[in-house]
Amino acid sequence: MSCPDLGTLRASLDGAAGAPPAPASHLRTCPACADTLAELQRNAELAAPAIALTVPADQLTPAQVEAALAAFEQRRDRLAAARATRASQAQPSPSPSVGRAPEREGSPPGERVGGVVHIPSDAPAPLARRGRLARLGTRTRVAAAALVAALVLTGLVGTPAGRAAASSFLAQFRSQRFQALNVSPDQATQVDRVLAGLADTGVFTGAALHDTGLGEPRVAADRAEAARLAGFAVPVVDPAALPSGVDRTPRRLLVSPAREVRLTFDRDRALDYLRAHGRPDAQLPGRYDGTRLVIGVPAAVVQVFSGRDGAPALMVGKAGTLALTTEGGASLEELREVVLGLPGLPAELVAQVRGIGDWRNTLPLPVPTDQVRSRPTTVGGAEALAFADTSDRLHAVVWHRDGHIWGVAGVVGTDEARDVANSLG
Amino acid sequence: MRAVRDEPGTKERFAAVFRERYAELYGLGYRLLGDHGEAEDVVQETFLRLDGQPVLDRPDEEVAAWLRRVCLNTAYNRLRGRRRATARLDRAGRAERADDEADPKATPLLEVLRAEQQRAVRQALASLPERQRACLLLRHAGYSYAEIAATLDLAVGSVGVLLARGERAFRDAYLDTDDPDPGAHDVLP
Repeated sequence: MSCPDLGTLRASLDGAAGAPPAPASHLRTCPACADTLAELQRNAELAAPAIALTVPADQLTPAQVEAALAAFEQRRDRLAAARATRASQAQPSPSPSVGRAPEREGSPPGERVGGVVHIPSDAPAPLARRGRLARLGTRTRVAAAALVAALVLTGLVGTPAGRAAASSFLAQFRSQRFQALNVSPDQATQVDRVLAGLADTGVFTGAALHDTGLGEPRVAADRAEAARLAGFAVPVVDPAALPSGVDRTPRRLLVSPAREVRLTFDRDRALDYLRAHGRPDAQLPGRYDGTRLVIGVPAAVVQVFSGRDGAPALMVGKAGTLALTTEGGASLEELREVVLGLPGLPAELVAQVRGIGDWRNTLPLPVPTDQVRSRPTTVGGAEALAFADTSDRLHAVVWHRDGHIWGVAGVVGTDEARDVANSLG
Repeated sequence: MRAVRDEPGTKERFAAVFRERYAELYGLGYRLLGDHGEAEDVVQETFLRLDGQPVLDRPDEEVAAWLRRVCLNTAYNRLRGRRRATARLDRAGRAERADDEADPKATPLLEVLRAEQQRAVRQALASLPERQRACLLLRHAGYSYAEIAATLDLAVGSVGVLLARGERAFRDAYLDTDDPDPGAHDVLP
């Protein structure tokens, strides 16, 4: 029999409707077709899990779809109104087509922007403006969540009440060691909800909440450039310590520059928030108002090593230490106590944070219990935390040494990750 | 061209289609763009184009195929052009990392790894010819050969070969691009 064509062979792998299966008898006697089918299978098996990585993390809820529909209908109505206005204005005195600019949604017809009169066109409006706002909104939420999460996750919640810090301008927190915090999915959701509420209601405000100032990673050309950008030496990873199947040299060097983030506490809004969430008798000293929380986010360098398939397989990271201070009337400890007392935070999680003895030097690392497990270990004699995901394919180890946070993570065994860690000087 | 807002019956049909297809289209847009806001924009633009289209009167599967086609084309337009695509992919990668940094549930280094893998996949997808990319994306999003054929306006029998070539091109792009001849050992025709 004649050889099946390429499409038929590929479809036979999927059992696609209408596709005749590749006859086993033919494949046994036709090495070319057998080889082709094997390669098709390999290619499909490479593509499937890779493309699955691009799936959105969360499914949209019906409420989100309804909100999208409402937004769509508003947008369509605005466009219709703009078209109607344009049509009525265009009739008595048609504008010359030269110099027409694309329609800007939401702009009044004929609005002068940058010296050009914008006249809506018939085509659906470009969505750049709306998109920018939408992304800004997303980023704002992200930034807000991240920055306020820093309060919670760096020990801002967690000490007994009534112990005020001696000086509000003294560095009050500096990470020197880690402690794992076990966070269940429900607890994570509760924390997310509280953090979003704080940002949305303006309890914490700051320019950092309205830009993308989260230290976007840059690609460095080499270790020297990475070191210059980060402000510290970037370690050479001993090739002999790298697991088999991993490139001997890093494929990419990512640098996240150091940055300082400032958030301002609004005492009145905090009281409003507390009273709206079941604390009608809440009181906060007036001196708390306007206190600025200063988060010193350290520079970080991540060396990315590829595996046999070309995809990233191992990361070696080094960062400075994270520091927190306050400026203003409330000490870090007092501000932490406010956050600790927020309604809606899961009591068990708060208890874990409270259980951290040396909170001024201990960086809590949240561990999602449904995805990752952690255990204490050592690296070169230093206390460390080892992590593994539930599939037991991804392993990581983080430790503190010489005033820096170090980490190794990747699709490697736990011993392999620790071997790399131990090799880093 | 009539607009759906002018015909109540059509308006309800439009809303029903929106509810039925929004999440699916959002998923396709996100797979390509890696940015929540941009994926939402692409889907909104797709439905704006549906407004007033006679295709809305066609059976559900034809409307779905039309929407997928427009959604993918709209998303591709955002990636078009090497310079723009590269910048956007970099931004998408950074956005992923920024999102990950913000995730209080995340273990940062593991999340960097995931973000790096996503960046590599999207970059490889962006390098493919448009129809191969669409075919690959749709097939690995779970669409049947018939649905892919309807979306890309081709015969069902042509899906297999397009998919085979798309997967090979994806492999070459995804694997080490430093290889001077990544297809040297190919056996595919």
